[in-house]
Amino acid sequence: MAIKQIEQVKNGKPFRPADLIIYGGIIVVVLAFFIAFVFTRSSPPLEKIYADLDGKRVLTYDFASGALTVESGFSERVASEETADKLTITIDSDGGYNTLVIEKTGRAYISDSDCSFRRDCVRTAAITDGGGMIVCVPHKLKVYASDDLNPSLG
Amino acid sequence: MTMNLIKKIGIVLCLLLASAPLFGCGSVSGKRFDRYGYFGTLTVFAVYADFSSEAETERVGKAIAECEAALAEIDSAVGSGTESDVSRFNAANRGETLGISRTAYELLGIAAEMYELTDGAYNPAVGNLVDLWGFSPRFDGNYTPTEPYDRDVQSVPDEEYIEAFRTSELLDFGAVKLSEADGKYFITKPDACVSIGGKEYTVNLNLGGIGKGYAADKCAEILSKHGVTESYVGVGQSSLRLLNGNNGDWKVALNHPRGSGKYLTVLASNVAASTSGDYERFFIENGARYCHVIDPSTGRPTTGAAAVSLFGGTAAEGDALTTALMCMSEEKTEKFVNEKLSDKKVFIYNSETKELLTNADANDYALGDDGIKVRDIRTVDRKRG
Repeated sequence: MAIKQIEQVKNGKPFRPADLIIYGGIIVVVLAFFIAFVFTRSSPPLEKIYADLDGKRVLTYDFASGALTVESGFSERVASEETADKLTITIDSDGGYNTLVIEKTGRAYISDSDCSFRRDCVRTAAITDGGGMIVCVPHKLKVYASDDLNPSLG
Repeated sequence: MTMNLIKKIGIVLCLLLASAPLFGCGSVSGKRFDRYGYFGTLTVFAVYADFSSEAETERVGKAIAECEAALAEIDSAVGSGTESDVSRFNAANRGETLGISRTAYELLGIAAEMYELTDGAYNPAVGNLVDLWGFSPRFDGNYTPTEPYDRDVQSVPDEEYIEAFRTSELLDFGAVKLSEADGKYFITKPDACVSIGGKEYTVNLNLGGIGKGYAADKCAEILSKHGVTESYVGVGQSSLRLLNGNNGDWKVALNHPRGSGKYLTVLASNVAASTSGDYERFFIENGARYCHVIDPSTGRPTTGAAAVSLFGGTAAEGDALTTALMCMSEEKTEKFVNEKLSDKKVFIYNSETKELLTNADANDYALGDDGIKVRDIRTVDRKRG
């Protein structure tokens, strides 16, 4: 083995073909990690649901533990009913109410509100992954799934 | 011996390369997220900075406070409040000249440029039609019927009103005159008038299409002026101004127009981004979808693309251009994108064909829905690589 290495040095070959295959493989793995990091990290699974009123956190639901945490100062504005498969939460704002349904299998949506003529929040699609968000403009309510700062549109 | 050393160095370099993205090279400590309510929606500021430094915290706080003051000023100039310049124009008599703020004058100037560029596909004079279809700001809160065409529930309005409000005189934004004298700014309402249902209707503006983008542009300028570099401003769900990302580009999630979650992630920084779509403000009647984007050529909600997103230019321009693209046929859209928007990245989603039309390179975005087919709409000579 040592003699072969000496021969390699003498012949001026920095790498044998087998070495190049190994390094090529490492580069492929690096690229795979990079692509997975860039394109999958931004769509985390649904782990938590947050609700804010006028920019202030009102509640957090954790799917893993099944715990609903209502922030202090908001207990009188939040009423919840729990069944085996879902929570139905009524959030009172200064303008009226929104009914937030959280299905324990990983889905959240606004089922009812007295916010406006159009009730856009009730029509907004359910949140099913970490990038989802529902906004009720008249009640300044925002329901969302991710606490990271990446922006979203639409 | 030398070979072994070279190999070891090679292996260490590879491992460092592999781990670099996981450790987030170059990121700064601390993030701040602020939300404010203007334009009937939420404005969000995200800032990454070294908040362990008092000076840095103070600098960011000052920048955000200045942004909030700018938002309030823009909202009062072109928002839905009864005293805003736009509301006063809408309530004015035909032929009347009003004094307006520099903010409104500047924004109306951008609107005029976009009206020309899109050959009227973006038209801020659709105010009467937007109200007729139930999408103007007066329907956002506690709605009280005041117009003869108002309905108990949001529904397709009477045809005679649609025809009356889509007459070319009421939609002639080119006839709205802006002027400046001695540092003061003025707007003159055209003489056009339509009588229907015992009431007279004049030219009515709706700047909802670009007001939010204009606000995002102004806030981004303020943040940059204060040295805030890793940040973005989002006004509503339609307008974004991105500065640097915290660790490379921002990953902008575009919400799915027909499902939940996102349908597209676009990597971008130091650019404006805008979206128009038919999926957040709409109603369904007899199985047909009626969205809030009104096509001035038909007087009806658009029926083409489900969502249009644009990266590039300013957010105010982007808001106007995405609205215009919603109103264009697919054929016209492709021509317009190739002729006028080749320096921007455009994403147009057709929910019927599940096709994404784009002029962006494939490595600029990632699909979040496997069922979407991508069609590159660049003409051959514009395709890169």
